Amino acid sequence: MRRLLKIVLAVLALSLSAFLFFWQPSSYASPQRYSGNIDLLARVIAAESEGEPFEGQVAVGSVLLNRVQSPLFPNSIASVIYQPKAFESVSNGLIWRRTPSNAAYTAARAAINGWDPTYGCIFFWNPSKKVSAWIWSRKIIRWIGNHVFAR
Amino acid sequence: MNRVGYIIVGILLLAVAFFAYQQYSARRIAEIGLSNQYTKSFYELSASLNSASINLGKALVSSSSSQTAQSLAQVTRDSFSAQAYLTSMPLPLNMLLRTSKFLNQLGDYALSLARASAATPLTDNEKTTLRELFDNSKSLAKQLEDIQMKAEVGRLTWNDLSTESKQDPAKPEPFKDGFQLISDEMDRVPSLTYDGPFSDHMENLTPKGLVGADISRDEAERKAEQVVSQATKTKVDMHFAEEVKGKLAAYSFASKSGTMRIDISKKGGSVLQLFNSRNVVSTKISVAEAEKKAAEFIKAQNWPQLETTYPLVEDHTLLLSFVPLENGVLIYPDQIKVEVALDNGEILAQDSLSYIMNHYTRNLPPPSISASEAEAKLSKELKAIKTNLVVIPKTDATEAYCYEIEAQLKDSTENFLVYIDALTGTEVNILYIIPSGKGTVVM
Repeated sequence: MRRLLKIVLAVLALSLSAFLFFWQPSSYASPQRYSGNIDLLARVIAAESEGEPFEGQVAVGSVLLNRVQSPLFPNSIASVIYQPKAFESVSNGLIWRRTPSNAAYTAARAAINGWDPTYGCIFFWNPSKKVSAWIWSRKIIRWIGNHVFAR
Repeated sequence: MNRVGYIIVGILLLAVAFFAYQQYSARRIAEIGLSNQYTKSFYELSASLNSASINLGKALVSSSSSQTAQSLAQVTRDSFSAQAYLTSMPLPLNMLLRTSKFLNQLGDYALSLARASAATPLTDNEKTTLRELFDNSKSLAKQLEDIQMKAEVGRLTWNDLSTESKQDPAKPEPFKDGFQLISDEMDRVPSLTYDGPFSDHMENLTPKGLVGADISRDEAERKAEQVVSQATKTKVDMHFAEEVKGKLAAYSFASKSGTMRIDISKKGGSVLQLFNSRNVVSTKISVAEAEKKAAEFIKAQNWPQLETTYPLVEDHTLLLSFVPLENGVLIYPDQIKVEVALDNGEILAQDSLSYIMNHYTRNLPPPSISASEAEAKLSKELKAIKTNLVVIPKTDATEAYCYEIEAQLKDSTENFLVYIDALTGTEVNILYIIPSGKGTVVM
């Protein structure tokens, strides 16, 4: 009886972990609301620059907007944000998992109003995370918080 | 007893197997859906590029200017859509940058030629460039065809594409290898120089408004403290944070708490950008008062005489643009933006980049047409309200010397800004003034 109980428990634990492993909530890929570019921009800013100084958040917004203007990248803000492999937080759905803070919205508006602490940069990365080697060949303009900004 | 146990275990195993199978099929359907998207993008890219290349050929050989302009306009549409499809491919960014630039510049260049060719036939130089572009786009289209055949694009799965680098360098991956090859070849294509927003010269613009001798870090620090103290009306200690490199080399300073940042240019010691990230949650002073504070603040720095334009009120702050006036002409490209907190009148931000990049003495000639002549060029649907002489920036970093006419659509309260070239009398641009309680917003 005891052995049986053990087996049943083991199978239950196994199926539970399998369930947790495979199950994915279907909601975080679906936008709850869309109120134009500022919202999308604020979401990427919030996800990509959590814990960064305010200037660093504006800088991330500037990079997104500078990409729209650059011949090297897509020509609209949504296409820049959703370009495959461009932003990790977009690929893993993080941008839709939480509501951006007020600071992220303020930073997005500041970037839209034209503030550009990056002086025209189109790349940023966090050197403490894994990055592709080629990115270091871009011209580095400045560091803000934990991010490197480059053209 | 044991048998009951086996049955329970058996049922559970069946349940898990069923669940796993369900997950597997759901994943398969999702994967096919995804790779279908990418396959579609690939075929669209290929088709747009073919069409662009054919129309380049037509533009090159046509002897009719309207036919040339029409073909060139088609080239623009095709290469911009090819660029959009290309950048939606799931490939590492660095594989796409160069090709993306080629397509954007092709579209941009064709557009500028289409405009010019309506007035004058193509020059020999332009024809040589078109010929090169025709050849390059044809070879690009051919390479895409190769990829399509070798990689069997339709059969590629998400797994084939999603890996960042090759697991096995010896194993050929025709899809990625093909795009890498295209990128390498694009590196050898000389870039285009022309007047357009995607032209290389936009990247190589140098600041025209940076004057004066280089200053030391200590001098910059004193300047930073002086400006920040003026902005906040209190004494603030600023410490050196980092150097900004590039065309606008600067020293960056931060306050102890990190809420204030200021960048002072090495050359001339001008304020490039000032930032205060303080939250403003209430409005206590009037917009007129805030405008006065901004004007006083900006006057203390050594800019030439500046005029206030376009106030914008948003989230308890006032955003104000200052532009220089040269012989009565407003020079819009040389903007300095200042943001004022509407709770205590503190200066929150300053951005002088547009001014620093663009400012020089224009030495404008007197206009060839009078203000009333310019107003007479307006559409009959509009009634002029106010007319100014201005210089406006264009998307390709060139400028236009214009009459700015604020005009109202007949029998409505809808206002437009119409720009009429002060020398030729042609209409250069129209902006629509969006009615808002915040201030002047134009599109």
